[in-house]
Amino acid sequence: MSAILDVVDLHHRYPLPRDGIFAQRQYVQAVEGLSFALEEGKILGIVGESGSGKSTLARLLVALETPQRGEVRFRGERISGLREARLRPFRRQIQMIFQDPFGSLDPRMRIGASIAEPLGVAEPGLDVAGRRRRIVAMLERVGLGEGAMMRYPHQFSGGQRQRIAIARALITHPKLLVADEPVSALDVSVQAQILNLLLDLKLEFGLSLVFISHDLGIVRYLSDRVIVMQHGKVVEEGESEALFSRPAAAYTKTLIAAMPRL
Amino acid sequence: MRRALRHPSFLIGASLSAVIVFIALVSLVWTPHDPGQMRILSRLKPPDASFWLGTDQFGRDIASMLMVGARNALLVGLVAVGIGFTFGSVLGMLAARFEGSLLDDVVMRALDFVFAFPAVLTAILILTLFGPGLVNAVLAIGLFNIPVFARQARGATLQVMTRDFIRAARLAGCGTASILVRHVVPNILGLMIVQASTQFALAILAEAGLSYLGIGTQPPNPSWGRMLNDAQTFLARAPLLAIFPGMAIALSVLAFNLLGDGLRDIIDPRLKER
Ligand SMILES: Nc1ncnc2c1ncn2[C@@H]1O[C@H](COP(=O)(O)OP(=O)(O)O)[C@@H](O)[C@H]1O
Ligand SMILES: [Mg+2]
Repeated sequence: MSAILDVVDLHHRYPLPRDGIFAQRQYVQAVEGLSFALEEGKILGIVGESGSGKSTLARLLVALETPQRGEVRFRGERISGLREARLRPFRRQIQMIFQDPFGSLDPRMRIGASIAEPLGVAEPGLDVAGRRRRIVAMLERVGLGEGAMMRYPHQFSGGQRQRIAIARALITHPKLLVADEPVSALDVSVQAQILNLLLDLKLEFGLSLVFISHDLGIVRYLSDRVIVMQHGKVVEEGESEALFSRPAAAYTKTLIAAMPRL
Repeated sequence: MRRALRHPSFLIGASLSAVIVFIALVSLVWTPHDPGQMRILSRLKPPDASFWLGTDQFGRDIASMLMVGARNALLVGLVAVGIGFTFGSVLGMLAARFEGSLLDDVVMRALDFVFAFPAVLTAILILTLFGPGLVNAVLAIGLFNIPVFARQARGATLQVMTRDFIRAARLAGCGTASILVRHVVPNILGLMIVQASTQFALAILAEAGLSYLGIGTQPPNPSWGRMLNDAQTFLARAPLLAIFPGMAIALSVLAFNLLGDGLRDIIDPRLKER
């Protein structure tokens, strides 16, 4: 049993705008004392209401933010708090998909260039033809054609953009993928397609997945283990089936009771 | 693009600016007469077939002087705005990228300092200290353009930096320089160009003002501002002498302001769209 991701006593807070220059600085404690681990090849679901600190956690996991306290370890090595240059070797192995597919692609950059960006950093030796082959193959794998390369994000639907974001995240063959509500912004009809694509790619690429959602149904369907978050803390953690059939914490029970039944 | 063609201030501003640029370019290869040539016998002549807009007190052809004056005004605008745009954008972007750092503080305080001085008075002071002339005038106008562009660039960069595609770029392994060049610049360029257009109009006005005061463009280079000053003495006998350069200045300022306004309206909705 080996963990790809270890989270130890993670804390993070954001400063609030000051009332006046002499006022004491106030903070929002977004993440408060999280500890957990993700086993290689598994899917860890994270649920919680809006504002419970899920996105903050996601950004901490991929080292986009430096925790106020605690640490994040990738295959045993600390990645939190590293300088950008020291972080670079980890970047290609740890990727993220954002909730809003309209914000995560640069509106001024063609899709081909967007997907080429991580590849150029990870494999600078690759020639133009080789790079193009890789991008086309990846685009086809997520259900888009070569024709997408020369187009801009606004020419695609939300679902297609999320496919592009997935292609971009996986082009460097990462080992860990953090998906922050990847289908919340999409039409229900498209959600299942994207989720199945993610599941297929997880097997194909041998990914370990942190899957964040406020939709308990999706998390139950996907996850091996689940963490329930509230106010930046872990309320309950367990194997997915056990947690959903026999929730222990009162908060988990309310969440489950509020689930729309089929 | 289609929206641009339906936008009245953009249309008027762009066409007027194009005409002015065209006239300035033509003056490089052709003017009706040599703009510097004096003709004792044809002083202060009203417009006719040969001298379309008449002659001044030295018998020089007004039309030719206005054409070369256009070239002078555009050159001043281009260089002064170029200085402000380049230095201002770079400083503003760096200040934004390192928001709250010492660099940000120093840059912003330095810019406040420049801002605190009344631009025209300080330009006069600078030109009095370092000597009058076109080059110093352009440098002074450029200097006052730096904070304008820096503020705009800083604000726009701060806004762009909060977006997820910047995070995605960091995850891709891009460093600060490549994020600024590849993602921030293309996304703030539209706004900066709008600002440039407005500042261009102001720069033309500033040069005209300084030259009118005699500390800007020096003879024999024609400048609309100096033509205006020369005309003052003969205002009663030949009012057209003042009207023509005055109109040239007013029209150019109007043209580039309208162009800027139009561009702003055209670019803005696209910036708001997520
Ligand atoms: N950049 C930020 N600056 C200040 N406060 C933030 C920022 N991001 C999130 N927060 C605050 O942190 C808390 C957790 O937010 P977030 O991590 O986005 O939760 P979730 O993704 O579960 O909705 C919220 O109270 C939110 O207002
Ligand atoms: Mg969130």
